[in-house]
Amino acid sequence: MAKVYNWQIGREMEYLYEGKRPKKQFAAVFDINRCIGCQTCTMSCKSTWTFDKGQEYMWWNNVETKPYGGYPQFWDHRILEMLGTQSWENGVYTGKTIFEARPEGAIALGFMPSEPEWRFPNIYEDTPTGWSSTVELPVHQNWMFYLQRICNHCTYPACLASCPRKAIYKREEDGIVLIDQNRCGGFKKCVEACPYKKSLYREYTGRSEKCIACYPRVEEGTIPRCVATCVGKIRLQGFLNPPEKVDPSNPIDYLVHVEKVALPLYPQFGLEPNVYYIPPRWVPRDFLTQMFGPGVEAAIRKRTNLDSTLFAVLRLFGTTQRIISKFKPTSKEVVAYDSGGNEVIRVSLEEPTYIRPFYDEKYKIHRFNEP
Amino acid sequence: MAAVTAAAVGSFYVASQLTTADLMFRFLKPVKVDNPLAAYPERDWEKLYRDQYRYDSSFTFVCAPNDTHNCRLRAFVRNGVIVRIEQAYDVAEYQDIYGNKATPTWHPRGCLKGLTFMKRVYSPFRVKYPLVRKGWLNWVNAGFPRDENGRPPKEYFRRGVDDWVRVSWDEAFELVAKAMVNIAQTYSGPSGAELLRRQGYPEEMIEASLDPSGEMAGVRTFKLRGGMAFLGATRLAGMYRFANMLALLDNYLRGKGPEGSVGARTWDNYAWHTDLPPGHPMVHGVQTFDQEFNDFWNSDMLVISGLNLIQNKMADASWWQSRIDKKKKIVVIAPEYSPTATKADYWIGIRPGTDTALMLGLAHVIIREALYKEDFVKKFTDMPLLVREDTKKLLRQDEPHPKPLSLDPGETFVYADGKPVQEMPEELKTYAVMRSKDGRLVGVSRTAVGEHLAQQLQALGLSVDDLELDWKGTVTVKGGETVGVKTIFRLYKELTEEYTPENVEKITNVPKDMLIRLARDIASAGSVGFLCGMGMNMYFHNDLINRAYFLVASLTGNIGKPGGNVGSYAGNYKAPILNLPCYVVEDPFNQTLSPDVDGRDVKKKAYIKFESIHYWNYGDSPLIVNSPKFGRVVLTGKTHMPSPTKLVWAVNANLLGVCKWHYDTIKNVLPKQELYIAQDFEWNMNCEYADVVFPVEAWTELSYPDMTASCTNPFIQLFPKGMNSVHDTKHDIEVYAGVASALAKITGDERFVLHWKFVKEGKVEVYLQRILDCGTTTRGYNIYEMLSAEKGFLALFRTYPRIPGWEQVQESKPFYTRTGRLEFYREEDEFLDQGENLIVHREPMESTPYLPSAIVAPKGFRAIEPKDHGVDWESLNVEEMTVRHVKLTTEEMLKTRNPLLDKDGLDLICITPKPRHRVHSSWSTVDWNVIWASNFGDPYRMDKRTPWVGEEELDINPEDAKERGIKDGDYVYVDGNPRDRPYRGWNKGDPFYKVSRLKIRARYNPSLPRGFTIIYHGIYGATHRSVEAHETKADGLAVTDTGYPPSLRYGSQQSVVRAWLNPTQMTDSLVRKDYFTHKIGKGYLVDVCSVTGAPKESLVKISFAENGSLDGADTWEPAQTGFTPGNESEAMKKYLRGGFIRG
Repeated sequence: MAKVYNWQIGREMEYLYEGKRPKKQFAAVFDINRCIGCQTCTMSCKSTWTFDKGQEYMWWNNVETKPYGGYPQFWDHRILEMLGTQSWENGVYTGKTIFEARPEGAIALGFMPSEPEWRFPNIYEDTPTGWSSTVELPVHQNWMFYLQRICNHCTYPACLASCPRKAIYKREEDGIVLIDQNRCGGFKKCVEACPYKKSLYREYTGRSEKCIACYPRVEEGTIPRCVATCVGKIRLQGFLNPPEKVDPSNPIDYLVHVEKVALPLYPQFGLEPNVYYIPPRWVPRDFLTQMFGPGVEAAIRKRTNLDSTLFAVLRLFGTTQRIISKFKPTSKEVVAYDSGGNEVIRVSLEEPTYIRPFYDEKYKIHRFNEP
Repeated sequence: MAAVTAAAVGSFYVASQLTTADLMFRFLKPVKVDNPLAAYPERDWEKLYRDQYRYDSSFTFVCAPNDTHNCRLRAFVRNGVIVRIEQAYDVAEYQDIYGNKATPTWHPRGCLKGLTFMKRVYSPFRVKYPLVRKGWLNWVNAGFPRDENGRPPKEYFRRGVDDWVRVSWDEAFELVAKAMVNIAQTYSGPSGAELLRRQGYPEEMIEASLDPSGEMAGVRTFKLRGGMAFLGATRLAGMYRFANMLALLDNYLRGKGPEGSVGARTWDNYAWHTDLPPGHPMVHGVQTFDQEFNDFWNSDMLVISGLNLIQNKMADASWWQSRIDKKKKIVVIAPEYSPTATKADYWIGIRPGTDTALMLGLAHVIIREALYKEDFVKKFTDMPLLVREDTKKLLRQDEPHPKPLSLDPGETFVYADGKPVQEMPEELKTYAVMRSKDGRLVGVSRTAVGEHLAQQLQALGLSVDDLELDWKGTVTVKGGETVGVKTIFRLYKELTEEYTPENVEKITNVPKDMLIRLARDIASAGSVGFLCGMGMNMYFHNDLINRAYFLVASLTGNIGKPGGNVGSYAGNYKAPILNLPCYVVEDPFNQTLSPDVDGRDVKKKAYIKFESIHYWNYGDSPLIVNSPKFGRVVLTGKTHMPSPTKLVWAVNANLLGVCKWHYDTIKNVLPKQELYIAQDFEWNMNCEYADVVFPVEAWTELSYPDMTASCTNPFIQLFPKGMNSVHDTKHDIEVYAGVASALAKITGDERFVLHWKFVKEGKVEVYLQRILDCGTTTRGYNIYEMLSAEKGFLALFRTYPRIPGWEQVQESKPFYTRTGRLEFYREEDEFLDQGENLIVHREPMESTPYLPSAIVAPKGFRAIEPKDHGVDWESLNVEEMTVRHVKLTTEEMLKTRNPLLDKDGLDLICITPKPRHRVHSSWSTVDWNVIWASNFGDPYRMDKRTPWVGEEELDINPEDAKERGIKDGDYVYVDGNPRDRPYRGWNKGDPFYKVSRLKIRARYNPSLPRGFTIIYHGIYGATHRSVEAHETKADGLAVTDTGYPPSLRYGSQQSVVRAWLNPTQMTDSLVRKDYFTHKIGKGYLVDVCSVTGAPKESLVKISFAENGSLDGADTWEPAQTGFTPGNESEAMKKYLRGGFIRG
């Protein structure tokens, strides 16, 4: 095992391979506050990539209702139970990662879901913890929220480390993690090792598959299907810099490193996942800390008290299919640019109101709100 | 390195992706990988996914299943097949003829359903060619035999069971035309009327079917429905155009000419779906108020009530969720902690169907704490008007002696030429009376509102401030009598004595502190959007609930201003946005055959007559009560009265599938119909029970362009022509034209063919341009430019966003009511008789533990004095229940019990919200959507009891389930009122009972309060054939050979609901704006003033049926893990409290 630095847990940790960051790291921000659990992302991914034989049960993107939902069933309940109670201290994770907690002979702590556990992908949709006659902020007395999941294209993937054929790799140019469909031997070690269960075995081909970050689109400067398609406008995709190279005009850097309003999923597993979540404002903080780490309270405070720049960045979500590399807010609007410096979109910060005249002289017609 | 076995090699076979060469390559060439984090040597294989992503071309189409969003989508085509669908991301380019543009905030638009639409296009469940039911075909070929009462022999009408016969299109058209002639002929003239009488139809229904001269017209027994016609201005509204054209058939049969002929009856949509909030026209005179979604951007506060925006208004979620970004308040009112409630600042868990009580409680606080906007209330509502205590009618200007001062600004809402916009007959106008604080009476015309009121008062030396609002006293009338009068405001003050926060808490379960807080929050917010949904509109007393929301909004001045309004949201209905009459009621005797005529000059004559489907649903009958006191009483007004139904032709709607109480309709009503035509692109329950099925094009296959618009967004969307059809289908318009041609052959009347001239010539644009020409929202647009632009356009309202009531409140134009004001008092006799002249809380008709329909009022409250029909408290006779008016105080009401509890053990309310995975029943045919729609989606059907790849569920509170011995995932029976559920006349021995008795999986859901269950609406329910399928096939698959994939083995959600008719919604006296004009009339108006049914009235009991586990012997497997609601292990409890992280 080598030693690598994981900035999300604030320390070095064990990993099978020497650390090497890609030139750019594919990353996304999901704002849970806006998610409506519509599964449009799920269906867009499905219809693009996993509609063929052997893929019937496969959903590279899924949205599950927390706390009872999960695809596969109870995936995070199980791995948390296996890992046991752990701790953070002053922003540093002092517990064991799944690599550090590995059993003899394995490279990570993990489990293989049984076949029936892949059924019912939307189990306990819209199911909260209870009923009371009323709830109110800051924390709802009973609660539920939607957790949107794709492959996290981790900096230190468990799938990559577990593959006995080294058939899983990280692309140097953008950090996208791929399973080589040519060389995969169908050992399913990746399925067992990935704590997020985003490596999926396809019996019909004898290979495992996973979210490919829509690289055919990303290579052309277009955001992935699941990001483009999001009806709630909760997703933004771009490239994240490591903490020592932050560019505040890069919206992903801004949300993750500058404002720290977007947090990684189960950072304690130790994979440095690259999908970041803005936590839901109504959910108990202890539960959210278990899921997103100790930055939860500060992130929610930021999200519920948006300053003008943060408001401007959030206005950009769901407006364009181009990858935004830089954003620039003014007092009236926010402008977004692609990696070539071209203007991609311009969004006003306020919405217009139009009033049309009662009588149109040219067409000799009166206009009404009530036609 | 793993050993390579022969079996492993075999399992590497891939049909569509890697080639054999790749396979060999894989094993022969050694690849050395050092650190896969750093570098990977062989990346050629990545072309695999790039290849998979490639496409040949794309085209746009509009997805319009009635959710109101009308999203423009882009279909990607490869090898002539649509491989995937994406959103168009083009709305920021939409503009109007003045250069106003939409913004990227509207992006991306298009949800999971639009994105799986291609699965419906290529699905095995398409209707592939025209079909005729064998028995019906035999009946036609036998020469339409009938008994002495006109009834066809039963053996020809075994619907749902008979075989199907494929026919050619021409054959299908001929058969339908022949049958139309025969049926219309049979029921025409005095002999026709006599047959209907003998068949048991009441005289009133026959009277409603007569021509202007008083003779029975057989075509009036035809019911034609353009399903959600607004979604297809020519394609779907074409069904109504056909119905109008049938005046030619009537003319052929009875020879009465253009003046004496009539067309077919036409069926409604918005009211039939119970989407119409019937209380809206009662307050403001128009169909419905609803802000477009971009108006929510202007709201300081949103009160979202009985409306699950998250599930049902997905495309425009960002508009209301922007309130979170702007730190504005979101309050959600719903019985359960719904998905929308998660976004709320606070959620209030209300007892279902008690919204009126809550609103009256808010009014109580607002009135007593003087939080109301006095100026607004005086200017725009009827609150300052005086009501006579003796007659309970509004004091009229000509009644007091001496005469009051008179304020009459004359017509204030006029066209450029000075003619009044609102054409209202004098006898409908109400010249009411107010009082000034110095004792003078002030008479007001309906135009003395807003600034006109202020100006006219000023001329008399008075101000709005000087008017009394909260006042009672006496008035001397002509003849010298002294009469007690009260302002309507005072009446509400007295009524709300009973609606204290304490009492309202007891009625609604809303904690009184939350109630007071809500009242104060509403009153102090700058603008409040009240967003109301079907969660409250689907009860019998929905009109009272609608009116009550307006009461609170009006008291606080939240009408007609940016961000401040009341909106009701359901399906897409605002037909007047597209001026359809110039197409629908083009005069068939006087056709405009030139393509260059301005739409305004097309000759129109309406031969059709609309009625609500609710009467067919009710048993093909109006509401006739055998009142214990008054004998036979007909409570369906003449203008609403339906005709007998002998022929049904419904397009673009799963009419039977989502029909309330459909098993009763199938068993007891359908046998009365002699031709039932289904026209759709997918096989659904409506097709299963039809006689003739016409297969039509899907939205990606349209042969002709079309147009639609929306009530929640300002876009006019154009349907372009699509790809070639997959099956032997026609465009809907071609079907109408085809039957018309067959009728031409029989009758020799060429006008049948000419009516579809532009269809034949491939120039449907001519019809579309005419519609654009006629509309105030569309005149100025050119259809050819719009179609070639390949995007949407902005409808030309006065404002963007469109704000209902804006012209009234901002420009002081009168509302479309008698008094010109927002009305909270209904003085019509029917309302007085029903005890609803004032808005008052009434218990639901069935979904209540208390006395159904009980009225809650203060002790001895004289202003509400309903007619006493002498109906017993214990009566469960449906007709009697609609006229039982028991006035009780809160305390008294809480002591009562719904007889269904004790007589039949029905103790769970069962409601039916709309799911996100479908639009009603649409998308029940898509495996992916079905898999995600419940707890039980499994593409591999490990449990052979699953009807297809998933099945529907009953959501139940875990404690309620456990008390009844029901485990999570068990199958249960759900039984409603045994007197008529699942259908009238059921008995255990009837094979149809097994088909219709609901058996469904239970699913623990702690979001529900006790005593309250949910089954989602629009399930593909069991049919004769689907039951036969799963009971006879080895693998238990319930998919029928006709291509119908049910989501339940037995029964459906409709097994536990029934049809209801509310007398207040069937009056001939309600004043309301006309549908496509600004004329103001009264009485029935399709989808405006109409009965609406009550689909959420349902009290049920559940009982264990089968274990949930795969082997049927134990608990459903996931519920054995300890991670599920109601069965949490210690580990789960730790997870819930975040216990796996310490510190």
